[in-house]
Amino acid sequence: MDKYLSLFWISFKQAWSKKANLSGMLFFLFILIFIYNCLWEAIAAESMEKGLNRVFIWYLLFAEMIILSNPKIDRILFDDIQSGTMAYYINKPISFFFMRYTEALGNMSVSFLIMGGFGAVITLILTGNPPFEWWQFPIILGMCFASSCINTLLYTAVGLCGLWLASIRTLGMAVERLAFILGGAIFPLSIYPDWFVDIAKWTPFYSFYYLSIKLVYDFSWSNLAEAFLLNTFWVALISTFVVLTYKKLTKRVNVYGG
Amino acid sequence: MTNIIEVSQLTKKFKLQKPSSGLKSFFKPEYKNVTAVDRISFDIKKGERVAFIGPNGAGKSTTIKMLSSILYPTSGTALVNGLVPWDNRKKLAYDIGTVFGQRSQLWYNLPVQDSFALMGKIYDLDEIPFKRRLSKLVKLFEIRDLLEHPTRSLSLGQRMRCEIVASLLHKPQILFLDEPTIGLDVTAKEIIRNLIKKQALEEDTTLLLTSHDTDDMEKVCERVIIINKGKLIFNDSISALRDSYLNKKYIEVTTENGEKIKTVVNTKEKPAKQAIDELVKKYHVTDMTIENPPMEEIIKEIYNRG
Amino acid sequence: MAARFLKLCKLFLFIQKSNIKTAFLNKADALINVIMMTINNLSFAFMWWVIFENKGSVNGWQFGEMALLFAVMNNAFATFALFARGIQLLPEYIDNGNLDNFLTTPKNSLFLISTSESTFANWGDYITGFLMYFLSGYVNWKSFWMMMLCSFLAFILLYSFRLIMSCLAFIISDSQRLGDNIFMALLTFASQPASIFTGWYKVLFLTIIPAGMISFYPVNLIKAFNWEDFLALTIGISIFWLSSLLFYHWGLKHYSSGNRFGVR
Repeated sequence: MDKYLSLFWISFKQAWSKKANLSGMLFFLFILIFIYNCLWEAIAAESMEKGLNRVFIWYLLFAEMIILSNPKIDRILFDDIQSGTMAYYINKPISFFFMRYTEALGNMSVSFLIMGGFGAVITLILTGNPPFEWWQFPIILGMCFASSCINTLLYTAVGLCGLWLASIRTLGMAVERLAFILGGAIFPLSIYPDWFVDIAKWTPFYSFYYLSIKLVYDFSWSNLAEAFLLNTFWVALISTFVVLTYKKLTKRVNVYGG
Repeated sequence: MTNIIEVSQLTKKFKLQKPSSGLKSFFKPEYKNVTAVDRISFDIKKGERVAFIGPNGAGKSTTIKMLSSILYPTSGTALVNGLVPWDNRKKLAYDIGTVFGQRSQLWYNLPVQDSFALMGKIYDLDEIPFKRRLSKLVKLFEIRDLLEHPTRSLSLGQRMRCEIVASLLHKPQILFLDEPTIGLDVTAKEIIRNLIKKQALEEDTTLLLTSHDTDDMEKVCERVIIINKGKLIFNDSISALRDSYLNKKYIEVTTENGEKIKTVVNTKEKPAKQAIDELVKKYHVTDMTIENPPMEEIIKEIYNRG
Repeated sequence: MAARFLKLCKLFLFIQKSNIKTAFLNKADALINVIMMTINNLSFAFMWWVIFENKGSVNGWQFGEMALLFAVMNNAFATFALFARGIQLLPEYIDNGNLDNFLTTPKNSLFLISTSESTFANWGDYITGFLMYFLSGYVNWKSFWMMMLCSFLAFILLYSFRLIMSCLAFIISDSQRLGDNIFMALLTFASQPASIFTGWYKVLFLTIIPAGMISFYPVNLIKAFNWEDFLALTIGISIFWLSSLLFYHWGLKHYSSGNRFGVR
């Protein structure tokens, strides 16, 4: 455990020192908040629903903290599989998979925290106070951080699909789009038609993203419990997939040598 | 014979960004000026094979890159085949070939022969002469079996042979080779050296080769230019260098009981054979290596003798 | 001049042929990627359809306008990704010195860099582009040709803008992510209903952040051609195109072939 903790810190510090990366990310977050603020203001003005943007932009901020903090672990793993780097770690007393995952978490945490701080200031200036109570904040933040860890896990699964696919670029994009739509990571699912929400409910994206982020504007203990339970179920499922795929991969590396 | 390359007072300065991770360096990075090439002048005649030797970071590659029109110099002039390289990039490209040991000009994912075909198109080679040329080079460099493999699957030595073929397709008059043997094992190095020399002799190609390995120049070239810290410190024939600096051999023998004995022999005073005979007579030799003095040693000597 | 251009065209075709050949080495994978890309795009369009269904129009824009915007945007991006994506790798080439190989050839280095990368999946963008045009409700021959022209102009803009971002690598290290982000930001700006930007924002949107040249002008022109918008569009794009080329050639003079960040 100790070695993973130090791996986490190393990648945390490294990510922290990559100023160009971080500023690029913050810039992008700013753009998104700015654009969607314009959009919701325009919609609010036309449909006479005042303050629409305040709720939706705070919602968007938490959604983007999860989506944008994605440490691109899918591409890293994919490259490792394709280049055979993985084979060199097989005889080391460390699980290659957990090594990459902890590194990714370190990376992700930096992005998540910095975006949270910066984004909160921007959103506060542009739209005003958040729609949740202050005491609810740590819980929401915790849930969204958990979502971000799950997001990283999901992309781990995408990367491992490199076992079968010649390129995972479009698969990664597809997962992102599904998070946007089924997970409501741009517009909350509450504005979608009912039949669509009914479909979304059966997918992991609904619970991974929407249930956590929804707490921003619709906080209740029952919502929290729902998010918690459903996420646990889906995480168990995805983890099983990841573990099985990884085992298959190691076997193949053992046989063919990377 | 006429000069095909003329270099005069060529200088290149770089602005280096100091690596640091503080917040201050992000907004206001610190720079320091480094003179990579410092007022270098030399000529090369048509068909000559010249080695450009020096330790890492001496400015060899920078000079080659200026002559092959990649870099603009800070000051000074150069003429390559009558053209100022950095002002006549595209025109000069037809006359020169370049091989950079640490980079690849082949398309990573394409089979080697497709890369060659693409090169042929880029250099406007007509179909039939191109095929004739390619088959000649394929035979010379013995790469028939590699043609169908993508570049990424080749070993470094195999790739290097393909790289050289790619740079020779348009029959350049001048071939620039930057560290062509870097990272190769002894056998692969030997193969590459022989091929380079054979080709240059056959087609009267002017060769400019950089290396930090003195063996490269001894096996391939006739003349050697040594630079250190951006300054030209030696420019003469290989035999002149051999007479005055390469006459020392480092002999190391391992005896029966694992003892290692090192001696330095000056071959001018005592032939190597005699030195070895003496060692063999004296000890029960189980293993032996003979080496040239390392680059650093030669440079130190050149400085010492002024 | 004409002969040189013809040779370049032949080379272009040759490169595209090998790209397709390489992609078809694994036919199933290639097709799945194209289909997935199409679905990706359509799902995005669906999201906007939901918004417009829900909220009616946004400052005068309805789903029809949005569909035209997606048509231009997807076609322009497909052209970029299939035939000029290599320009995105320029910062990498500059940082690790691989630009050398492009500079020693007798062909236009920018051309070779641009065509050095192509993602086959983006054929799906063309599919979406044309599909969205037919769904827009503005279908007729005139608007079709206008849509084609605007898509091409928008491609030139995307290319120029990306080139400018890539050329930042001549000045600052590790600029790959920065350039990617700003480029993404442009695409994001361009894929919103242009009508949401008003006042000063609109001025910025049409000039420095040239997203309006992908969304605002083309949509207006396809709906109803007018010379003012057309001139503004062509002049704006020409300015970006010329400045990107100037920047690139300035950069080559300051290029240091991987020596700049040497650790000493």
